[in-house]
Amino acid sequence: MIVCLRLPDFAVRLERERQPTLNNAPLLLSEQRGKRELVYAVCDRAWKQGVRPGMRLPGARALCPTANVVPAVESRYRRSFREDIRRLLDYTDRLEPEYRPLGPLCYLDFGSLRQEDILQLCEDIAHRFEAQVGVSGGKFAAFVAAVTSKAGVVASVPTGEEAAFIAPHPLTLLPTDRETARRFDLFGMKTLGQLASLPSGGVLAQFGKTGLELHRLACGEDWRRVLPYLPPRLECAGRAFETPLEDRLQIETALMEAAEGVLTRFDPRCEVARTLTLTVTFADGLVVEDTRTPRDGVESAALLFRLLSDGFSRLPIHAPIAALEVTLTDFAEVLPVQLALFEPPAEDGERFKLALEAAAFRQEGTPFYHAVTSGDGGYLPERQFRFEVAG
Amino acid sequence: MGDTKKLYKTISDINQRWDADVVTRGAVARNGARLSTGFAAVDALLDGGFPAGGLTALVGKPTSGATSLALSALAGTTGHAAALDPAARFDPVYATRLGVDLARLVIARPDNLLGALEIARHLVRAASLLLLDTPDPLPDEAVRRLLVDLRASDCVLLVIVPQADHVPVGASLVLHAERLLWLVDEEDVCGYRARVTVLRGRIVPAERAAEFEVYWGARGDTL
Repeated sequence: MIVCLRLPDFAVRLERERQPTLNNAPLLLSEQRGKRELVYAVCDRAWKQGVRPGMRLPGARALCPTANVVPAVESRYRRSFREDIRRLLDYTDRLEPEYRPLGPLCYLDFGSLRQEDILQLCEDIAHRFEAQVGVSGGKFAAFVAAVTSKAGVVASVPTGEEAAFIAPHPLTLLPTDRETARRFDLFGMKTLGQLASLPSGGVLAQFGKTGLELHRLACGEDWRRVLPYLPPRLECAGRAFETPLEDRLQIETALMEAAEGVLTRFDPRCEVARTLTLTVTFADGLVVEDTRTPRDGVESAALLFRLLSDGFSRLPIHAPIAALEVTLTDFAEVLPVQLALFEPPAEDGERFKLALEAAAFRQEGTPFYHAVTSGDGGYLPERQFRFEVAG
Repeated sequence: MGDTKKLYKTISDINQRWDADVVTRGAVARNGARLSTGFAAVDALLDGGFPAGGLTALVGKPTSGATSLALSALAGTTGHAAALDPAARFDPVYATRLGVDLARLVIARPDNLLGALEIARHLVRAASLLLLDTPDPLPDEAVRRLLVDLRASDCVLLVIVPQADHVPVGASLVLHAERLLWLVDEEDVCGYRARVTVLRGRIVPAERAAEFEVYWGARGDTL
């Protein structure tokens, strides 16, 4: 049995927990994409008034003029979701998290547990996380059950009745791209049952292999498994200040300390961190973040400090700073590089050259090359390097 | 005085003061020693890396991680190396991205496998690493002749073959590489995670496995 857990209104709930005063009015979370301000997530009340994620903020404000607008900090929501995932690991290690702004999902597989025990665990999870929980033999049916259930309630789909259960639900629940959804609409299909009733050959002819996969899901045939979850590694270092800081020199000293602190957690000679996040909490409670992905990874305190300092300079500072946190993620092993300082001894080179000459003599006609990269960044591989005859 | 000279003088001073070979050049494997693969997990699996003076067969289809593993080891050696490339599959650009210094690498493109093995016999006593990527099985007799020279040398011989029944005779270590998943950075594929499993090993027990990740963009380039 597969369990789908959905955390409805996740971002909105987090913001309301952080600022209880936001409970009194509709809430919109906004995000900046380029020069546009868009709606990131909305509460139930704003949704009922027609506000949808992805809308432009002025339009959303026109639809819901009483709404409070708060800038969304997705990395904080993701971090909170990761904490929830860690707690879910107490139940099983077979789980697949999927972050979505409106409601993050997590599929769980309890293996060979009895169905009664699974339902008991689901009740516990639904209550603990205030989550919508769906239980079914397949991932998609479990997802539909979760999405259509109420928070804190477990919806179970009996084995063999997946197709009948999902049939009346809208096609928008399928994991489709916009174009496929538009074509479904042009064909007049609204529900999963309508798609399931079509012959698979016809769906394949019209929508290709992707359409056939969707057709199988609509028919309740879902053999996708839940893969084991490996928590991503992250290293954090930070500091909260009793007296919020305003002096740039003090802030930079704190950043340097954080950089040195976080670099003691791993060996930069063996691995580098490729994503760096600086989280700044202001005295008024507002949190802003700056995330960077340096090309060659973070491997030294000096480089980390330079990146942090640069990132800090770009943040809009409107109040004294109450806390700083540095997070490094996305660790990768350092690639070895042949060191120029350690040239092979001359006699090795001479020996190799003689061996090469002997081989070339015995294998007359065999070409021996040195490759030279051209460095002009040509797109075609043959323009990116050339061969020069060795010796 | 340049940095290199300073370094050599310092090394010389240390060796004179303490012992003749307190400081030696790293990553050049001696017979029986190991050459790091460049991936800590795989080194741990192989008890240090690829064996010097032995033949290591890497079994894997294209993009399975076998070539990346070989190139990563190549990047880790400070000696001379040669790529025997009868099928003309060696990609210098990819090798550079994995850290290989092309100036120290000779690429030979013989017409046939016998020619490749003959060249290997000549180079085996002078090179630190030989890489042979072949889609076809190697002739047993020629491999046995090569093994005689190889076992008396400090060279690491890596042979990449596409399937397990092409593994050459006398391989002291046989590894199977397979790609597990593509790594995606936003919308771009930036690498992959692969698993390497020991199929046969004289020192390393069979069936042990390790996973490693290969990033193409680590040097700031994209494919």
